[in-house]
Amino acid sequence: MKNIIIKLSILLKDNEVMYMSFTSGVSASPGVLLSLRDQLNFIKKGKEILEMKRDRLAGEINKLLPMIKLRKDAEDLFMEAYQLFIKVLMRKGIRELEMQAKGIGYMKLTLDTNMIMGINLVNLNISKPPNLNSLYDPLVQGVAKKLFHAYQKMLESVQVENNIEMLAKELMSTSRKVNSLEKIVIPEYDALIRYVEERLLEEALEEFVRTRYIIVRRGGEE
Amino acid sequence: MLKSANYVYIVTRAHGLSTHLIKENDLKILARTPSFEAFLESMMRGDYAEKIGLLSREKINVSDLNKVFSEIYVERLIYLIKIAGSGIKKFLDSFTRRVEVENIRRIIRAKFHALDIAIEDLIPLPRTYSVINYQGMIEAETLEDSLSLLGFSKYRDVIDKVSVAKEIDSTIPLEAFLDTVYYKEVLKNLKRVPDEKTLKDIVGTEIDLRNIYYIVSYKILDVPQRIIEESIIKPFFRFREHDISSLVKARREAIAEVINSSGYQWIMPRLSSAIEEDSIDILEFELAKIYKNFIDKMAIRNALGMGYVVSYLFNIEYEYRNLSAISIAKKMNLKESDIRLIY
Repeated sequence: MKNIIIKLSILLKDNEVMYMSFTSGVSASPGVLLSLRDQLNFIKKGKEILEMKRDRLAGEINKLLPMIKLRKDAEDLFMEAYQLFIKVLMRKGIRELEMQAKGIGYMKLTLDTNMIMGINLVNLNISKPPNLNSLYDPLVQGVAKKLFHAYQKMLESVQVENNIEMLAKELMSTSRKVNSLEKIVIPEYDALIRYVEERLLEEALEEFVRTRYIIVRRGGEE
Repeated sequence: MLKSANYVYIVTRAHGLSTHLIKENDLKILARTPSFEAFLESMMRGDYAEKIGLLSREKINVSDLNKVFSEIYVERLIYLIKIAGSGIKKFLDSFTRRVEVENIRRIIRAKFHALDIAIEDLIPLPRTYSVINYQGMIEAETLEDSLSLLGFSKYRDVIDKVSVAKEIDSTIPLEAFLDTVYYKEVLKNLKRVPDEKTLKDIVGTEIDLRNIYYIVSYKILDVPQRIIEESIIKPFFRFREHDISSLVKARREAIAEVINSSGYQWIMPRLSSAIEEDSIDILEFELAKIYKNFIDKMAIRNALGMGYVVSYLFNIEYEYRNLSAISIAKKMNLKESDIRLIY
């Protein structure tokens, strides 16, 4: 399937050249007709696969769309945490808060990619969360937990948004391909095949008439 | 009983020095100032004027200003030790060691998580006051190396808590242990001071309220019981061992009941809303106010004794915290109603 998609992509990249070749002279022969029919079958199959891909992408996007509201949740959580942070900053002072922050240590974030229909979807994971329980002052620990919760939600939101963007781009590109196959390439191929068939039929008729003429002429002489 | 001249002098000085502290009304006026610049202008009198005057007006920021507040705080604490004599000096010295404990705490946090720390990150203390080799502790490669430099001080046993701290991946056992050592030292030294009972009441109540704050807050934050147990500061005052263990084990809904059955039922009316709302912010603020009211009462009751001196020391800290809060609020253009002061 991947092969077909790649071939179709190459075919569609040279769309303009191909379109020109439809109008220019094509040698009409049974071999060309067979090859054109094969090509058309291949393109139709490819189109079906691209349609399947488009539907799957649309399905994936539909699955992710309800999660768009995560951003609002994350922003609300950030605002809530920020309000508390201001209170804690006032109560503890800048220097003390900075020093308390040293009681957490670093956190680690890993970025994995997950391939869906040829698209690399991003998967962000907190592989080593900060140890917030180790903060001695509960007030600081409370605000740190709130901020971390908001951060996790924002991370989820960013991931969803990025994946939707990637899927949407691919969906647009796939739709364009399907449309161009459906509206341009396939009709042109049909026309070309019809043209070659007609030419072949004409040639066959011409050949038949010529043969008949020769047979009749030879039969007359004899 | 005739009091010693030294005793009378220190109490009288504390009364005199108290007049330098910013009054409740003045604090409210400071909180009402329209901008950070106006706040700075208002601070250009009294004990802060000289140090603030040395800062460049154009470049001054909250951090610089808070550094000035912290320097004045430490100077005020140390001044009282300088003028005190014999047993009182020893007690005041041990009492003000909370600044030293805070500095050790900061180094421990950084070393525990292998993070950078510089001497500028510590509260500046006069060389003669603290014998702890902070520079050495900062430069030590590991936490153990750093703590081994406390070998000659009263905090030497903190190294024994490293294994527990590493096991639960938290500095809480180390920090709580430092507090325990600090309070034990204060309580030991107040035995040489005439108003032992009053002072024990003040220091003991502080320990108990801190335990309430830590245990209740950790419960609200769903911190594992093992860590809560390690956060307990000793020795208890009005609490019995049983009360604390009940508080540690209690479900959140039962916290109020446990506190009510201890010697601290008088604080519950002010804490109930914080516990019901699971708000550590309100809990911390209310406990700070409760304790402030408590030491103010003790100061009135013991106006001619050491109770007043210790309440003055606490008031220095409250002033530092209040000014720090106002400066941050002003810089962030917060409304007066957003500034919560303790008076």
